[in-house]
Amino acid sequence: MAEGAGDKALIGVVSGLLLLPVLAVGVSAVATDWYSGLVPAGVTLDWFGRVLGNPAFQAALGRSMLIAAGSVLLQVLVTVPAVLAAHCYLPWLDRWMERLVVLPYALPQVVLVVGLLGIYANDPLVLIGTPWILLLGYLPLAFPLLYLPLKNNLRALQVHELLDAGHLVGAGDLVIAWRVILPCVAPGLLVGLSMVFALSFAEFVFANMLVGGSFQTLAIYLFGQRQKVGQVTAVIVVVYFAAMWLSTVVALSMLRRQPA
Amino acid sequence: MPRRAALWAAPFLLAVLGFEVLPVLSVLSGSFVRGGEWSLGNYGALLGSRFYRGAFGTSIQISLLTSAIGLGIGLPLALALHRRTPPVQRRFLTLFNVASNFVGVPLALAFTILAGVNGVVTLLLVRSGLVSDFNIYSLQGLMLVYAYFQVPFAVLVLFPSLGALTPDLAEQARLMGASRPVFWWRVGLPVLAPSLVGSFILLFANAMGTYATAYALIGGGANLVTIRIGELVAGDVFTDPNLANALAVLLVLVLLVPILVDQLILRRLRG
Repeated sequence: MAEGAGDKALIGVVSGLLLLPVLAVGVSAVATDWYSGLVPAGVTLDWFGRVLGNPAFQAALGRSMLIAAGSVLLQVLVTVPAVLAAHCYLPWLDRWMERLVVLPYALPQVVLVVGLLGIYANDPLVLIGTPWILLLGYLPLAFPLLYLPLKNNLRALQVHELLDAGHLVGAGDLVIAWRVILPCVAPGLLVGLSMVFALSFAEFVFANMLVGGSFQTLAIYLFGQRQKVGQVTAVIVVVYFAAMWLSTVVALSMLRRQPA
Repeated sequence: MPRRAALWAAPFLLAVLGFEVLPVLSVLSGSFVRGGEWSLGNYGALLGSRFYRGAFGTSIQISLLTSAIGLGIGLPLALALHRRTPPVQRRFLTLFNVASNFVGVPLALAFTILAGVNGVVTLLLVRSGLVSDFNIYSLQGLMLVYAYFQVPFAVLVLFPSLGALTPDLAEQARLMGASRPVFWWRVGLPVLAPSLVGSFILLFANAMGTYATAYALIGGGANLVTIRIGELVAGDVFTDPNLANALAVLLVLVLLVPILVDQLILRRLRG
């Protein structure tokens, strides 16, 4: 049983260390003063009031929400039909999509930034400096996050038999996709979309280097505040986490409302 | 039907073409342009520069080290988790998933609060006399922050492959008289070797490509390849997009070669 105890100790210690920075952010956000001691001098909600009441912060939060929501919508309209079409009818595209999944590791974001600046900074199509480059640039960037869980659900489904059965009763592909296939893959779809939301909400490299000050998202706002006292940045990071946690909760609650 | 299906996939293909394929081609072709003419001058300038060679040296060193740390802690951790019950596994895998996605500016700021000049960890370390001075805004500090996301990432990529180590494998080895070290050396590690190699490559790429975390923590002072690329396209001092293109191509080569070798050659050798 010594081994079981060792396992528990290892898992516990590493998990504790991983929670430390999160804890530090949480404590700092409600600390009156945390400069000299090991624990804060007192507890206050003043910092939340100050940051949340700031119009620049509210505007940045709104922009990030807008980009994240737009990004989710774009994936629903563009990526979901493509993944379904590839899975049902286009095996060559399906194989390529599987390969696209490793691409984020081979193509760091900063490399894509250089390429996007090379193409969309000048005529005929200027997108640099506008939020459009974020919406469109996040599409391939976030694709693996949606593809993996969606594909997982699709694999478990006998898609071709569903299509044949549907055709037999006179239903078209669109009706079958909408009424049968999509409800069946809803769990993977919602998990994927909540991850797309989180990525687009928090993304910094594209936002800072392709758009910057002309459309200040929450990540850029946070970066601009990094020299301020720890409590201010801590509150913003807490809001960050809250938004991402909320997107997951919303996705999960939509799942529960689905008839099984 | 397939023709109409292609129509449904067309917008996605256009988006991938416009915002992934074309940018890569632009980087590639731009890297061969210097002073308005086709040339290998950008590559010559980079390879001849101690500064840029140093950036590759630092990036590769920090990535190899933090990948080794990631696997060194991640493998025992994944094995320990593998021996626990599925509900416990799910709970901790969720935690590791959150931690490995906790990157960029928020992570850098969290570490500033925790271990910056006035951070609790810094105060504890200095007061306890373990160190006289701890600086998170250094390469050692950066490695600590990288390790924060590399360890949970290692667990996440290793964990699914541990299914190959079934309990009866260990039991059979024990019945045949193999001690634990012998079992690991002759059975365990060879079984896990392919996924260990694959995981190490992913961890390495994960660290090599990191920009936001390092930029938010140290800024331009960190001589990393990604920081140099960012500076060349959006710096305050001077910009040279074509030099950035060449630097980006070299970075992608460093990342792509191990991935391709692993996928094309090693996977095939293993059957």
